[in-house]
Amino acid sequence: MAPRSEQEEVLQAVVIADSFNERFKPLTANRPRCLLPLLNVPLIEYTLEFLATSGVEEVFVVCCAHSEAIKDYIKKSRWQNSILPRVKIVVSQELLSVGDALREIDSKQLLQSDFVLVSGDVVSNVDLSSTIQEHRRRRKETDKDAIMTMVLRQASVNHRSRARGEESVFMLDGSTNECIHWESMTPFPPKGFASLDTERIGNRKEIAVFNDLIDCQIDICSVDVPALFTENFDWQELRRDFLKGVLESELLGKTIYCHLLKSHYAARVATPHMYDAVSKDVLARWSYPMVPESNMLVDHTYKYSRPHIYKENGVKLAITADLEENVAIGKDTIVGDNSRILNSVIGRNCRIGARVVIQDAYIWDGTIIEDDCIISKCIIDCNVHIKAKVKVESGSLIAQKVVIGPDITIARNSKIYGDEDGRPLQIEESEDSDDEEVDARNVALGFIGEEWTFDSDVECDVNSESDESDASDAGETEDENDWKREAEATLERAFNEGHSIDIAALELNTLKMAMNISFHDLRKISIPSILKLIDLSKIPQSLDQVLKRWGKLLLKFSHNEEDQIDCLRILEDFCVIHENYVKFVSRILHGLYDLDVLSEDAIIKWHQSLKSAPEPKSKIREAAQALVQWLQEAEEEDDDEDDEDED
Amino acid sequence: MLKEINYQIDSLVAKLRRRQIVGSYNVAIATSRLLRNVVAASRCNDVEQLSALVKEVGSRLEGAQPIELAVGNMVKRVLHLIKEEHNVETEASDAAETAETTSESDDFGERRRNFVADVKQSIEEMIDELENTSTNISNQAWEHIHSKEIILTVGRSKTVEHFLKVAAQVREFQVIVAETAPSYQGHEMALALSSAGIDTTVITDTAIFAVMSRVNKVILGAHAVTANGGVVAVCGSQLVAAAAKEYSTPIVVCTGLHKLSPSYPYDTDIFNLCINPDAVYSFEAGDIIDSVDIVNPHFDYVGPEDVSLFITNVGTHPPSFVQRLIYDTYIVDEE
Repeated sequence: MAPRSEQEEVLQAVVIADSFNERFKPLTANRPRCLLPLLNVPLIEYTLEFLATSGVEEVFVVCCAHSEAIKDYIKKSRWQNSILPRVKIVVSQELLSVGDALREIDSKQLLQSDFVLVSGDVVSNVDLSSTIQEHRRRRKETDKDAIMTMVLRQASVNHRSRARGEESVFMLDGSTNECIHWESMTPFPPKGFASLDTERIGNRKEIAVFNDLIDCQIDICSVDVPALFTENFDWQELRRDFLKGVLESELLGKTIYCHLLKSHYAARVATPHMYDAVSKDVLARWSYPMVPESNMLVDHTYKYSRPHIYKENGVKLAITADLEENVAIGKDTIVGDNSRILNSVIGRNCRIGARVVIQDAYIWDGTIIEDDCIISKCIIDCNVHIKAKVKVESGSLIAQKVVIGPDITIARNSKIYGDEDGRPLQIEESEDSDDEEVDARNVALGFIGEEWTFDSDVECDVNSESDESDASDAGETEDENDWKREAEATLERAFNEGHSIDIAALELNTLKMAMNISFHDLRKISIPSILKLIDLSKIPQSLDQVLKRWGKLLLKFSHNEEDQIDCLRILEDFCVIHENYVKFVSRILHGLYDLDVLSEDAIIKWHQSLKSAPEPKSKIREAAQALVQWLQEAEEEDDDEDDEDED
Repeated sequence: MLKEINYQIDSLVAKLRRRQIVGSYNVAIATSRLLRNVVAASRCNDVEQLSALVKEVGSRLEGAQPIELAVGNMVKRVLHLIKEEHNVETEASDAAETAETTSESDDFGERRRNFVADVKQSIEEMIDELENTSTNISNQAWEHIHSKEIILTVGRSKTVEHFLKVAAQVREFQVIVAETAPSYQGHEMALALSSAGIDTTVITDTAIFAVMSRVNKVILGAHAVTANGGVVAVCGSQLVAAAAKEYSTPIVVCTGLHKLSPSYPYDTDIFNLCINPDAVYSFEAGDIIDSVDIVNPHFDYVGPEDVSLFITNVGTHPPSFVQRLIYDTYIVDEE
């Protein structure tokens, strides 16, 4: 075939229809993840529809496990004869990772030019065509080494649609959106900082650090990407290996860009938790026009009514049945008297008995639920029979054809599959069931019933300008002396090298994250260190100088009156040990008061608490008496004269 | 059916479903062009077969996006055209029969082939009419807008925009545009009008009631007009209608015939569409969307009792006359 010109290039896409992990076990025992129904439509339909919306003309579906099922499905679906896009299936039995899949693609030489790489569980309503054009233009005009554009959705840190346990930090060039650093930020083991090699900053003027992106792994790749995977045969994953490898390698000289979506929906059903989140997003119509009543499958007949209720034809509801909100119900399903359903999806031909409560649950086709059951936050596969008075607690996954009950309770986070007669068996969690590199606790965060919110401290620190974060020398041991030494060393470095207060505070904060220590600990370290800087023979010049230079550091660690009183106690303890400081207490306090590190209320309160203190402390009290009196007087008047002591 | 035609149908179905074609005018044009191609490529040449074919294609298109009522309208229009052509045909042949003695036996097959060509011809005329809808409506503008009047409108309707621009050529008047949150189409509308030299003011939606006492006339665009003379229009129209009713301000709706739908709104929500709530509340605010349901309806239903007049491309009519127009233009399913 004659080479085609740029305009006529066929836009291709590769769908990885294998997840290479077992997070949905036991639901995926006899079908691949991409055929799991999301709102009663197989996941791959969403992915293919998304690609078709973006104007993709040719799709390669790469499958490994359950390849027959996928083949059969595509053969029977509307994609079999579709021209836009043409769907082709690539089967290979020996794939273990995304890397393998791309090597396979490379060896078959299927791709002609830039292509879209997604996994078979992406739900998105983005039209990628403009992003693809941007990618092509960038390759042609500004940066011919740009081999990949990652499409990322901006969200918030605690957004329900961010995959728990797979968080990562992206650092981008502020002006071009070139990705300069990526780091996995899985919550276990807690890390709390991201470090960037200063060399990578180069002459960039602006670096944007993102800790709140939904990375649903929609990538626009050039043909070099599969080739790179072939060259580096040990690369397995797209982010952990490929992205990191390309960014960190100077030899390759390739660049990767990001495209940040500000509108539209994009998410990936990577875990049962995400299944829950994405289902809710679709029910709440964030993925519009990909909503149930657009009836992607030919024989679907969903209709929409408020508040977010989707019903197919032939649904029979008892007159007292209550569909509260966010519910989708498939054809010929019967719901009995006084049953309540909310935030749930129910498949076709299900029978729900009387007085059943279903909440946040996903019940697939043909399941029977008898009277008086309580089902919450779980996924129940096809043709399950739940007898009367069963209680299913949150987080459970129940596989096909199991018969449960009557009158029992399924515990939290159970994974239940049936033997040949449908008797329920539990899967015991084996530690090494997943990838060895992945901490089991991170996997557990993906469970559907898992509640989890971030410690929001993590976010703000990583977001502050971290062009200097060589905090990598922070050790891993939790030993108390260790962090003390570390913190003292950090302070000393700051004093000797004359860092700015912001940078010193940042380093200490990073240390705090890494060592899991509190602000109190930081204060306990920094107050004595600062006080020791004062040359007692050259009072008052030295004292003023030191406080002026470093006093504000304490502001970073004390945020309210309680913290300030804590500072005062530390100061007090320090003076008890170093008696020669006692006579300067008033001056020190005054200096800190001028810097707003201490408020007058805090000083007065602290002072009062010392009233009946024994020997050494009463001296401190006396030393501070003058200042406190002055403060109390100044309270009534204007404190215009505050500055009189400064220089 | 030819493969090529089938492909065209599939691609229009997909575009409708993905909402890559939206707006009643665009949908109507696309549908009627497709139906023209279907008719032209069809090999059948009697009325029943051709009608059945058009109906079948029509139901596929309607199923793809039920909210775009214009699809069904165009299908019914084409069915009407087919029937009319057939009537003309039979009359002609009756006439021929009576005059049989004089004419040589006309070639029956030839005439049948002409029948398809005639239908195609009349569909093309219909497309022409569609393309001139806006102009035909705007030609009546000077009859409705008078000097020094204050007009209020919401949203961005191409028809209303054109109507006002044409009126501005002969009259001097003032337009108040409600901004129409959360889509803010009103901003675009105001920009378009002011760049045409019309004295334009943008107000927030909440100020509609406050300014209504000064408004002489409300002009609305429509997404669809239902059989009872009600209007499905941009979200916010009902608010305007309620305010206008309070002050007895007349509401004039500019609409092309292609928006007239024989469907009846048994429920005011039935022709509504809830779109992506992003515009109301950003998806990025993750914690909120978890606990709050956010709804972003796209349309409003304004009942016939609130509409004073329809300005269509075939003249001006009161809401009660919509029934008659529908009867004249469409074949409404007998069953």
